[in-house]
Amino acid sequence: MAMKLTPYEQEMLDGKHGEAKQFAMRAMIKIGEPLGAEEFVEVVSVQAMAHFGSLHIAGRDYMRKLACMGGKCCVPCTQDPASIPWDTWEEMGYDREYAANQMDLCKSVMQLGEYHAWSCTPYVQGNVPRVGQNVAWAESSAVSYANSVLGARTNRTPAGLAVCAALTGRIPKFGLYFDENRKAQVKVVVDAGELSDLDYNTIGIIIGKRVGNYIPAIYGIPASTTNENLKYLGACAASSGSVALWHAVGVTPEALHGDPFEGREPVMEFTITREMLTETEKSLCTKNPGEVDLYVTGCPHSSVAEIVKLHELMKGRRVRKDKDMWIFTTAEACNMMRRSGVVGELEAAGVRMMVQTCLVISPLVGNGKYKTLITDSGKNASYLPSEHGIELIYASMEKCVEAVTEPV
Amino acid sequence: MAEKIILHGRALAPGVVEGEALVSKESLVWSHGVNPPTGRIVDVRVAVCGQCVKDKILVYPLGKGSTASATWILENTRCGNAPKAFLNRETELIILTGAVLSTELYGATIPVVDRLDQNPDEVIETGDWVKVDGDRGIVEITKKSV
Repeated sequence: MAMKLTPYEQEMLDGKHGEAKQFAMRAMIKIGEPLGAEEFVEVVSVQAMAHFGSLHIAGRDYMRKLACMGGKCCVPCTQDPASIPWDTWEEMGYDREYAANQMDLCKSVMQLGEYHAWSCTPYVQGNVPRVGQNVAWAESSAVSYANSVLGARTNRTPAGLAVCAALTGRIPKFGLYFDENRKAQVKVVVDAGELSDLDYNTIGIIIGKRVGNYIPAIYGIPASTTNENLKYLGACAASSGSVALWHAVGVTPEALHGDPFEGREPVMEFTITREMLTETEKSLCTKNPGEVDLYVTGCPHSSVAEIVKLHELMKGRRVRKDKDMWIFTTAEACNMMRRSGVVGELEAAGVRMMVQTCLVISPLVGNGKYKTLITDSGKNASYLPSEHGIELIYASMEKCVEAVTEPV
Repeated sequence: MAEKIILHGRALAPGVVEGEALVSKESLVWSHGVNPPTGRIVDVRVAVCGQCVKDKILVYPLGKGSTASATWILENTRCGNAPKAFLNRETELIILTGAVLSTELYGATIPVVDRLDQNPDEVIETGDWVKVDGDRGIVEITKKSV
């Protein structure tokens, strides 16, 4: 059935507002109609993608084409981390042609009017939709956060489609844009005593593996939990499965009051115990780790509070000569922590700030320099070994710091 | 005469093609899972690792993983290494976006059909000859002779 368009949407499709909007509308209709969308929703923001590591030459040319067509974003549009650190790629030995392609992509999306955000955590950069607002976000961890923690609405918007939403302020209405598709389907009880930061990652990994793309309602998460813990839980469930929305009963906005199942029986039910957490932690480590040569943290990007925690742990310690420590974070958090004096001290202790970029999508790991990584990110642990063929140890921030540092 | 099976499903992306099936019982991740310059599956977690998707009727249950996957499909198309068609139990937005953008930007025809009356990853085996009608949602399977 043909999608019903408003007069303005019809004008965009007819090319009255430029070639780029026309291209975007046509593509979105070709995707929305067969999926059963009857109309578009207006979105208040977009999280797009413009990292060369995933867009490749095809995506670079696509963004160039939209920019040449005169495309302009009509809602705030941020994008995932870049595949290179803008200021340090050269000294770190990134390939020149690869970097040039990333810079080409940057030029195109800036021309389109995207913000120079380059983070998987747009929700700490001012791209913060309210409960019930529609957005079109890419980045599975950000989708999870927007839906679950903020109570905004988005499907898992693919790279390449998100930019169409940014150019038009529209996305086909289906899936999680409907109230009735947001109810809990699986009951998960967390019964594992006091939860550490790492536990939230592990809980997410277990949930993603068990529930696939169902919507879980999680019982047993304390209301005092931090946004960072919820960020990791969601990012991990999205990387080991395809969870785009989850509810933590008594914690997240759509599960504060009433029954998250609305009277329907859960399709599945399970309990996460301490034994399961311990077992899963072990399973996330690869079989033959050697001596650790690199600690990576900040997947998704480290917040200010996480940098402060790491700074505390680094008091009186420094990174060993034969090892490295990288913190992946936003330009905003790095800037604030630099002004606070924290980044200066961390750098003096041998820590490298990796700003506006990401390890998972960078070409740096897997080139032979680093063989065994240690990380406190479950998302890193579930992606890196398969994607970059490296050995990995998954452990708490405390253990990670210990593994690559020594007393001053 | 070889056995023929006809399945009906939801037509998501148009076009009529035929070719040899490559079937994965496990869900595939395109992002870092398929190498565009070669079309080879490089995800070590799946049994079809090492197989080439180029010109295959690619059959697998569901999409999962990164939302970046659509542009990985698009790059496979640019490199001439895209599959001929996608058949899934439930096609994800990521796959459909990859197929539609391949048409819009490179003129490629990659029909996509899902919600068939039987699970395609159970009925179809690697090596079967499969005709996909993405206009009408019809799949015709000729079992490979044994």
